[in-house]
Amino acid sequence: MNAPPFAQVEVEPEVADLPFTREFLGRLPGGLPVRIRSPGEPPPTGKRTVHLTREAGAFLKPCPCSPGAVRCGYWVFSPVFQCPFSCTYCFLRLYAPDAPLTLYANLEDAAREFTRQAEEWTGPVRVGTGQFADSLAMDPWTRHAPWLVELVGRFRHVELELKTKSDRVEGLLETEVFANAVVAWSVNPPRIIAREEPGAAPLAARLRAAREVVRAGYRVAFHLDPVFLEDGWEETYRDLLGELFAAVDPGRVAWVSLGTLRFPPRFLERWGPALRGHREFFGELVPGEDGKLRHFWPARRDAYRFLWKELRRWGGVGLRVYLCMESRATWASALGWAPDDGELERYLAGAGASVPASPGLTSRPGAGTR
Amino acid sequence: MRRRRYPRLTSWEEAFGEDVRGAVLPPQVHLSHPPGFEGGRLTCAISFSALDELEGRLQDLLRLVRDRRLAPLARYLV
Repeated sequence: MNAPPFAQVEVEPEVADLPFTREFLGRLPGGLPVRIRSPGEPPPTGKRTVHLTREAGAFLKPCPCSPGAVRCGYWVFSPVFQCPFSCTYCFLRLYAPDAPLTLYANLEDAAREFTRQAEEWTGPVRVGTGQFADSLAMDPWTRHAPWLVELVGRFRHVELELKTKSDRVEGLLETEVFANAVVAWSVNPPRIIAREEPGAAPLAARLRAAREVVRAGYRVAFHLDPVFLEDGWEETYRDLLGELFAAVDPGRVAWVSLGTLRFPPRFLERWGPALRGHREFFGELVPGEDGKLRHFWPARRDAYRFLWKELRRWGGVGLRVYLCMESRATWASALGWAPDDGELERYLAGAGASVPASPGLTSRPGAGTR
Repeated sequence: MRRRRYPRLTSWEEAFGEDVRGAVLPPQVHLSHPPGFEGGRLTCAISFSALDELEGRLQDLLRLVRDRRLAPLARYLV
């Protein structure tokens, strides 16, 4: 096992005797400083510190999405908060720059909350742990992934997405495979990973891990988000897609999402100086309906059209592709259809209608020509 | 300053203004684009104080569309 991506562990006394805490501490390498905190101490800071504590609120929440965007009905399940990687574009850099790697040790509460909610859901629902954390980066020590796969496995109408930029799939390879578990990689061309995703695994390592989990029986997903629209991006992303589908049979790909760089203006106020030299952040980004800066509309639309066409060329027309945090108008213009409420969940679950063969032909699945 | 920060957006805005002026719209008819031309849609607003007036402006507009005087605006759509 490689060295952990943290240097010390601080434990709240109230969770010191919980099973998760004991197991986590038991997996740590010898010599790593562990301290039981005193009641009332201010919370620790910094991503090199693991903070074992209790989640007093909800573990499971609907994905906040963005105002005016097509919602995909995603739910976020968070036994961890914060990520050991330092991606330049990550929203956690704005909202929680100094938060420690927070592990919520009261997993029995999390399991109860999830089970109660899953029994209430009727239609297909996707749940993921990769919104406020990397789903697998800490897994060698947390072993969250096997726990989650087993927890969600019996709810066949729920799909668990474990989203990562790591290659830490050891735990998944040692556990029973459930058909409703999807292991997802956020991907970018190698030169962008090297520049914008410090600490994350190289593309080759992510794809090696993807191959391994597919061989074990899992389905995978890919997130091309954010796509960096820099000079020559079409060729580098075309090469990237070639690598993805050389590594993984398209039939084992549950979905692919697309998104371009977006962030609120205050992101640059906070991180602008540190991002000097990262040209994409200072390009022609225009405030949208939700206040976030995005690439000027025609550039975004054309990028989505290009990628959608290429994805279908490499992955076949059955490949399920969606846009993250984009409006219905963008969907309709770029992909040729725009889902109504609830339709995207069914589409991604494989229960929806098929989409048009090429952009701009129909307004929505099953509809006639415009 | 704005032109340097948003070169393509400002050039689209200027071109849109010229295209609208070139179309010579009927009085009380206004064409506008959303911020950033987002979504590839335009809005046409017609103000009127009598139904006859509305009918006249709609006919004028229809004539402009048929005569392809609004055709340059297609580049801002979808």
